[in-house]
Amino acid sequence: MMILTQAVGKGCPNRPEDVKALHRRLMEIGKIPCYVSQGTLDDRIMKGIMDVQKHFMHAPDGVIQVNHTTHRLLNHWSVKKVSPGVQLPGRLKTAWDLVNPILPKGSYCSSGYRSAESQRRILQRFYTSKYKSAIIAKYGQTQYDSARSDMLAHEDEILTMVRGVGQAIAKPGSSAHQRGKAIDLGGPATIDNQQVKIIKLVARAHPSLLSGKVIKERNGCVHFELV
Amino acid sequence: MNTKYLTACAAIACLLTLSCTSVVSDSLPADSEKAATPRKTSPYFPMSVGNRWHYSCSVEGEHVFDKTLTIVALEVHQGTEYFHGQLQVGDDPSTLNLFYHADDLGGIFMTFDPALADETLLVTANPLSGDRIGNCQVAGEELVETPATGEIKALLIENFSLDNPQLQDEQRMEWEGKHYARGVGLVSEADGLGGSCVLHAFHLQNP
Repeated sequence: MMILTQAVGKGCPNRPEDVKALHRRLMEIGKIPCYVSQGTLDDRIMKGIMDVQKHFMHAPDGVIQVNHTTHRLLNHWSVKKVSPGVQLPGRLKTAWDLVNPILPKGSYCSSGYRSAESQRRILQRFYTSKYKSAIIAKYGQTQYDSARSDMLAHEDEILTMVRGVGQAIAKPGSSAHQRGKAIDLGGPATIDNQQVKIIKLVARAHPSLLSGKVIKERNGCVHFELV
Repeated sequence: MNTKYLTACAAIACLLTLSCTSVVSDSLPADSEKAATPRKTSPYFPMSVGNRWHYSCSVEGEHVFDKTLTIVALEVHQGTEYFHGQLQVGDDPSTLNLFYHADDLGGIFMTFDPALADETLLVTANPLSGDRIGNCQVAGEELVETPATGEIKALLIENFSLDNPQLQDEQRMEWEGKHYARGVGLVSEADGLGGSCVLHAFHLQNP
């Protein structure tokens, strides 16, 4: 816990003990290299403050007020995990790196890029297994068999039939995950609202990267999208 | 044991069964007979002719279609009472027929064809956290918010728990879960791909 007695940063009182505490915290989170501070605000510490604020401020001001956003987020700063198998190429990685350290404790990245093939595999499993009886009951064996004979060629028809028995599923290739534009966050339900708040904060600071669309999905994830 | 007594009991039981069957089937076709009285069912899936649940379904927050399940009749097929449901999806005028019946313990089973033995247990009468229901498990009760009910306590039945950071992304996509609320029925269902259906309105004949 970094305790500040007065504001630190550009134009602030910068009491030596406060500067030392900030210096220590910035080293801990890897925003500045390790060196000994005499309690004086220097360029490296200033750069560290700006780097921290770039995560959630469109125009970092270089000021840390006691118990305000930068101070609070610095205290909770921690690197969160990514679930096995999650792919975060290109801008997804950039977005994740921005939100990651300021997300509430217990958060993790549960999904990123998904191939259209993954979605297709699940659509086909729904068709050939989970909803097979329902589809045959509604559309008949003949129509089922016809589409089953070449599922790729009949993909639109299969999608219509799977939706027709009540399963909401995206067309393979159309989901934001498959376009490399979505990340899902996991974690206990109690932190969902905090996750949403942080994503919206980062989206306001980076409107060219994050669209601001954040959804608390019914599967427990918090889903957010890139521009 | 007295053989005459047993014979008499069997005869009475036989007469009772026949008389019940005849009341139900007197004026109705053999395969789809309307039954006289509804039986007790799970409080998590209240069954009564005229009950209706309307859902809004979306993927990743984008509306895809609405669907409505209506219980249209109580029928008897091969001696078993079934609530006949019709699921209407989007603008499609054709419906999917679903048949629900309760076992002696109040568990609700569903089939698409009562003539087949292919039934799925949806929910038991008194589900408890940790119970297995078919291939799923009861995760426990949690607060769920729907336009139809506001915030309501609902029972989550899922195929596995998503609450594990070590779960592979591929596995997450296979997740499926349903929330049932006591006295209401299915209030939401979701999958690991971001698809979900949420209760927007409902009507219970005998709330």
